[in-house]
Amino acid sequence: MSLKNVNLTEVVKRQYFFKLKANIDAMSSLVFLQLLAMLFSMGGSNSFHSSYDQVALEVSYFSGDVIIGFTMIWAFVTAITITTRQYRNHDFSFVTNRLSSSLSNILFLLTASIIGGITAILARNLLLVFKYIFSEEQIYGIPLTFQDLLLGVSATIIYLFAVSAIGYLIGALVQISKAFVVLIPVLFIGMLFIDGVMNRDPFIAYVFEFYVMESSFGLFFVKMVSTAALFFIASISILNRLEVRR
Amino acid sequence: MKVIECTDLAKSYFGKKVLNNLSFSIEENKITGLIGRNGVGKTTLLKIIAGFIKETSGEIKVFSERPFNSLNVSANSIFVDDQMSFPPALQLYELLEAASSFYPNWDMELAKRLFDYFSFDPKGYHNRLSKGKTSTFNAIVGLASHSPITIFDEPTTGMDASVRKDFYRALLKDYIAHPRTIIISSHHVDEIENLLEDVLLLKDGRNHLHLPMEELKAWAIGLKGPTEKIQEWVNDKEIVYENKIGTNTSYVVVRNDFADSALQSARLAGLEITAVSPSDLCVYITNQTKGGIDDVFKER
Amino acid sequence: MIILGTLLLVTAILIILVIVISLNSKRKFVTVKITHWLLIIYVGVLLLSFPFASLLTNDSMTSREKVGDLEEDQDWTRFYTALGEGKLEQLKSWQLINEKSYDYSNQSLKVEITGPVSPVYVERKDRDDGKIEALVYTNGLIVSGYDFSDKLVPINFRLENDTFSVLHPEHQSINLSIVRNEFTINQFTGQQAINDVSRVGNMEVYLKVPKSLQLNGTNVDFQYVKE
Repeated sequence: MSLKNVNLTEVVKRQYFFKLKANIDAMSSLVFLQLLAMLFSMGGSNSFHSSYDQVALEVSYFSGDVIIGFTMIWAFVTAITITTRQYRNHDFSFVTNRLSSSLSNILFLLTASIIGGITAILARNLLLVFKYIFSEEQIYGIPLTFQDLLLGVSATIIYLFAVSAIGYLIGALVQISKAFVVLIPVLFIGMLFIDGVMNRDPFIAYVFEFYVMESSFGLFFVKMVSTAALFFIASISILNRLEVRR
Repeated sequence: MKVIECTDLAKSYFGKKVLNNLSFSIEENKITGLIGRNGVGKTTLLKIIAGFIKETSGEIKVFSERPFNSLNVSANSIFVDDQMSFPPALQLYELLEAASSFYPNWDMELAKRLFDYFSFDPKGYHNRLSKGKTSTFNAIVGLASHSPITIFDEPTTGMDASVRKDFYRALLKDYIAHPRTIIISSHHVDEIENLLEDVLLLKDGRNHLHLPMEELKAWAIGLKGPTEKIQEWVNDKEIVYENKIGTNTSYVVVRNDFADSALQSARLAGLEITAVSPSDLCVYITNQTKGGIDDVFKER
Repeated sequence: MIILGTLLLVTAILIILVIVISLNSKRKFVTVKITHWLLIIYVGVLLLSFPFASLLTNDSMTSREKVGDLEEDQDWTRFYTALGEGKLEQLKSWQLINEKSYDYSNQSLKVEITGPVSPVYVERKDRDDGKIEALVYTNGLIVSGYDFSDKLVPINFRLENDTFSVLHPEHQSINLSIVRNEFTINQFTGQQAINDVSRVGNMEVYLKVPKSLQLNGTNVDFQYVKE
């Protein structure tokens, strides 16, 4: 038999298409999660005002925030899932090395983020349609401009990708040792606790401010993408040494 | 050309040494049988060769590269056992298609024919197959891949006798048509005796014997007769196996380095000389104790 | 709207039909195809709902007055100053939510208020024309920058013999449903947070009375407009 030489790009490409087919169930869970999120959003978020006794004003706000939140959870869980032993073993039934495995995973997560982002933003409209069908209320709002739509979709995709990077790293850490399942939450809560005791702003507030309060899209893009890249690089180097037991 | 070269390979799990100072090399385009007791490290060795697990120390080279994380080794080798892991969402025919997209030498025609011969449902799912069918499917994938190194680790687990026969036959035929390096590890040495060209016997994590099958067949000889006579003849030899039959008779297996004349005199002295089949020999060599299971039930 | 409802119902029935058919067709389309179909149909429904949702929310909003960003305090002062100084031209036309006119030729008028005590602004006209004009002004019911004062039940009036009643409506609850953009959009467009109610619909009474009409009322705070 003649020896065939393969290059990394070829293998990653084939693995990527393989994973798109193999992980199709992730997409159906996306649909169900978003439908569930719409169900939860039907009540709207309410704020209550009355500046004097006669008039009580209650405003219910409807938006796709919950849908985006659920989609972020989905991206996080999907990323963790593909780092588990079973999924890593799938690659080794065919042609792979650990680097190509991770690279094709990242491409898959990117695709998932794109699909998730587009559907999450569009889903708000379906929510409004459901609301219209099931309740008689008039809903007030300005239709989404194309520019806002584009902005929303891009930003959501970037959020999802970053969240999946976090999930991938956590998944990779857990693969080294199950201890991380306990360690990571304990560390997280511990830091919040210490911040509380020391009476200073929790570090999570700084994180929030750094990423979520960033109002320039360009800066936001750079921040999120570079953070995601860092997390992925860390994950790759962790997964690169792991044995595949089967 | 040596496709696999192994020098002083060692592998420990949780402090326990499984492979220890293992050295051997395998030439290309040969069928080698990897024999040894349960737990001696056959699967471990094969997984190291396939690049699944890392060696603890020593050197292993497949196609002159370290197999762990080597894309070239992965593309030119395949590891087949009953634990081969496939995505549960894909149907069997999709798995074959996936294999064809990855393996450059994939023979879809062969795969389809074997698939139909063994009555698989293309729309079936891998995780719903019975044990025997799983092994069969995995073996089909292994065969059709035409990988330059094809590793079968206990490939016939769960297969019934006729399927096993078919598998060996298919393996041989395809091997003759498309020569490649094949390593089979199996407990059924007697079944694959006629398949193997070389035998690599592991004991205590080491390379105990690495011989062509022809030599293995003539490696040892069996002597049976009155116990005292046996003692005379094998006094200075290393006894591979001995067994007391009745009150006065013994059966003994020793290395066959007798001259023909010595064997003649042994026969004249009343000893029965028999050849030792490779599968029996392997059992005797790798035995931990000198006696047999009957000793457990003696003197009770 | 009925068209919308029926279209959606038809789509839903189609989806169910496809699933049922594929389940029944000798398991050919099961699992692999089902997830593909599910995703395709879902995306289709999402795309369809885009124009529908736009239609739903469109008319009701764009016909409303959009109010620019004014400092709340400033805005408050401007409203009450305008009322107090009788400069009604400074108020917008949509701020007038009730207007009644009564013939009254008597010398004096008793004014009663049912409801909370609030000042009654009175403007004396140049002459005695025997007409009382009662106006209700609101500063606005501004949510997300749009005015919803048409939802208010305005203060009403009744003239019986020589008693003029200012009738505050019963306790009213106004419920509004508003669509907000997602945080991934607001992050960059700077749209307000959830508490974007800027004016809560307080109403004031403004009377234009004949020049020499005597007004009296117990517990009524008459604010005579300075000329």
